[in-house]
Amino acid sequence: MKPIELLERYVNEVGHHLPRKNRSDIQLELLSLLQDELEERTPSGKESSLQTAAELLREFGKPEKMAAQYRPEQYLIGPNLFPIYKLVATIVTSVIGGFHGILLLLAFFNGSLAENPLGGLLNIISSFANIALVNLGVVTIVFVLVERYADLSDEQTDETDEWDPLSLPPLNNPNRVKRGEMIGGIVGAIIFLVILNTFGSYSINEQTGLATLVTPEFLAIIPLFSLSLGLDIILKTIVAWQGRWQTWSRWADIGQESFGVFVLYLIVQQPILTLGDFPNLMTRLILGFIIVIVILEIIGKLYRLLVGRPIVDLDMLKGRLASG
Amino acid sequence: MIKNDAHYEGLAQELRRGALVLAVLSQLNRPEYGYSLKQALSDKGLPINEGTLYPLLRRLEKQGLLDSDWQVVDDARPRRYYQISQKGKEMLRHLAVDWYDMVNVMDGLLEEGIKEK
Repeated sequence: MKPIELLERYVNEVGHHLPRKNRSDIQLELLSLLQDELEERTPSGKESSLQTAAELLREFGKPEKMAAQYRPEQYLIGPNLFPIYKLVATIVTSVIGGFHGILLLLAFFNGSLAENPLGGLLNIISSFANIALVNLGVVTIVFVLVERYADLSDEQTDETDEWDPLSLPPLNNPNRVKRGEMIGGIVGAIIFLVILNTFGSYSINEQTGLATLVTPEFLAIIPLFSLSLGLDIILKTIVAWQGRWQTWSRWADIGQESFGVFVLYLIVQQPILTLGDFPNLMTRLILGFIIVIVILEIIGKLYRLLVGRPIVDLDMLKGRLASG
Repeated sequence: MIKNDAHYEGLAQELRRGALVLAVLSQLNRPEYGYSLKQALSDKGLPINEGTLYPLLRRLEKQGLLDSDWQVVDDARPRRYYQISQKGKEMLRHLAVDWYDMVNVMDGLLEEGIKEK
């Protein structure tokens, strides 16, 4: 092979990675430049060698790398569009997730899950995954097309991107707790705990003629329910006393809420009220809805703890800086 | 030795990269082709990697700062010659003023920085 053929091979390969516009012009120029460089490295009177040509091309770099220098920076979805894409993708996924949450609820209450709960659950999860992926794909393609064909140069977006610094939201330390609210929640939970543990026995022992509102099955779960409430009260008391959420208390909160979901799940498996089928069904439906909401809340908390932005406690940082 | 440090080479390249556009515009009052410009800059103490210079010429041309056309000079092979355009000359004047201002500022900063050491 002659040195010029090697240069032509290189130029041909670079061309594969160049945009169509100006491709042949760039290739011609590149070949001319390579020939100039090769002549410079070849002693006068001698013929250039294949080794010299190969060494020259090594210095120029891989064809795709050379071609990349001629292209403007390319994005599938650029930095201007990406925040909007992320928001839309999150909304679409949440709506599909919410829809499947309702399907799960309906499947639970109409007995579809009774025979094969795990299989039914897996079906719903699989359906969610399929539909979510297809829709995310469509959203991605739309944004890729917008990125490709809409003019989103920085100059253009900067002109329309005015913002008012005075409209920035006030500082909100997500770790800080509002003691008043926390204490109110604790008191409410204690009251509910007391009622829960005295109401059932009052109705049974007094035999005043009032029908017992709740079923024996529900009464049997009250200790477990009380334990869940008790754990919640203890945790919130500690957090209120410390004045802030910490990593361990956030994990404890997730654990306690998960236990609460488990207890609620046990409750809705059985008849709760003795007032008839319809009130029973409505109560179970409401509790089931609460289960779904709490599960979504737990998922959100897990995401924020594991994947989301770190929670920066400015007060703690300021304290550390002041104490040196 | 700091000059052998990989970070030094990267930082030094960044420093040179900042001055490249000014250097290229300043040397194209007469038509030059890519290789001759590269040699001229190298001879004057500013070696530039070909992977940087040649695409830069294209970019400056696209921005209207350079004009170019294919020429055959002295029966040599056809070469693409670049020359600074009117817009390029105006840009060069403004950039040169910015450059001199920056040199004054940097002289002061470095004098201070080196004195403190």
